[in-house]
Parts: sequence; structure tokens; C-alpha cells
Amino acid sequence: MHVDLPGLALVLGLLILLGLCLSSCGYGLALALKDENALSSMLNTLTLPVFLLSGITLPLSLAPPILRTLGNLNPLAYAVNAARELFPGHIASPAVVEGFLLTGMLALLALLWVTRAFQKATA
Amino acid sequence: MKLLRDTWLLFSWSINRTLRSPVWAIIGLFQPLCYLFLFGPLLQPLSRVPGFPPGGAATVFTPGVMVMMGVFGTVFSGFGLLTELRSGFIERLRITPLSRLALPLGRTSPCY
Repeated sequence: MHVDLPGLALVLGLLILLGLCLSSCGYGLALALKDENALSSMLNTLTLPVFLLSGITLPLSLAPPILRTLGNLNPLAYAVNAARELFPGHIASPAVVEGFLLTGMLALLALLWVTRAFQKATA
Repeated sequence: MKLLRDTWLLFSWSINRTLRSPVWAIIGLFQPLCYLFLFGPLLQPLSRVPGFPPGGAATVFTPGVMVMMGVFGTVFSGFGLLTELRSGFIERLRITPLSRLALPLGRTSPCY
């Protein structure tokens, strides 16, 4: 297995953006729901399809056409494709640019949403 | 500048709490490691199927596990926020001039 250090550093950068986006979504949901049971069931219900349709466990190229279409609608699939291109070192690849742009935009949107939720909660 | 300082304040507070009980970090690492070592080898024969992306099973699967680690480590951080909500921490934040954007930024950072 050939690991490329600059690629790995960029994967960590991608994970940071992804974590910003997802934790903001988690906080936004927590502030909206305010109850542990509701939050737990909601999070599990939402993360499971996103996780399964993102191509982490099995690559989406092996999936039937309908699952592949659903995977193309899933932002996490683009992040996974970007990580898969960065890991062996193909840094200049359209999948990488797509993944970073999409994750960055979603992180920005999620941060704006959760900032507004915090402002309302602590007004 | 104010944003950076506020983020640093919250970050140092969060990371002190994490360092006091690092058990949660180890537990959070457990699921991705299970997937990597218990599920990864099963993909070896699958890597010869024509539809599989190029590079071999380990090179294709490991970045996926890293993304999964990022996903599952961060999504469930809302529970910590709920505990703080109940204990009144958020109430007390109302009177501080802390930037509200620093709240998610400062809490997310210790997840790494």
C-alpha cells in the first residue's frame, strides 16, 4: 500500500472541513430538538443512509444504477472520492477539487446555520 | 481577531476536559479500526472484480475508513452540547460577549 504524505495531509484537511460541517449539523439538530432520545434517533436515522450511500464500505462503482444515482446526490460520496484520489497521491484531480469545494461550501452553510441557532438560543 | 481569541478560549476549555478523560477518544477510534481490520480483508477478492476502482483493496478502503472516522466522531458531538444545555452553560453564555461563531468552531476542534 503506497501512502503519500502530502496527499495524507490534504485528506486530513478534508476531514477537518467535513468535521466542521457535520458537527455544526449535530449542534444545530441538538439545539432544535433539545432531547437526547429524539436527537439520538434522528441522528441515527439520518447518518445511516448517508453512510451507506457514500461508497465507504463498498465502492459505488459496484452498485446498481439506482444506488449510483442516489450516491451522486450524496455530498459524502464526493468527499470519499476526493479522499480516495488523494490517498495514493493523485492531488491534481477533478474529484479532489469537487470534494473540497462541496465540503467547504457545506461547512460554511452549516456554520452559518448553527451560528444563527446559537444566537437565537442565547438571545 | 476576536473570533480567534474566542475560539481559542473554548478550544482550550474543551481540550482540557478531553485530556482529563481520554477514554472517549479511544472508544471513538474503535469503530473505524474494527471496520479497517475486520472488514477490509474481505474486500481483497472483490478487488479483482471489473467494477472496482483501481489501486488494490487497502488503498481503496482506508480513505473510506478515515472519512467514516471523521463522520462518526463529529456527528454525535451534539450530545455533549445537550448536557451543557441542561447544566446551564448555554444560559450563562447569554451574558458573555463571546462570538457565536466561536461556539461551534471551538468545540469542534478537540474532536481531532
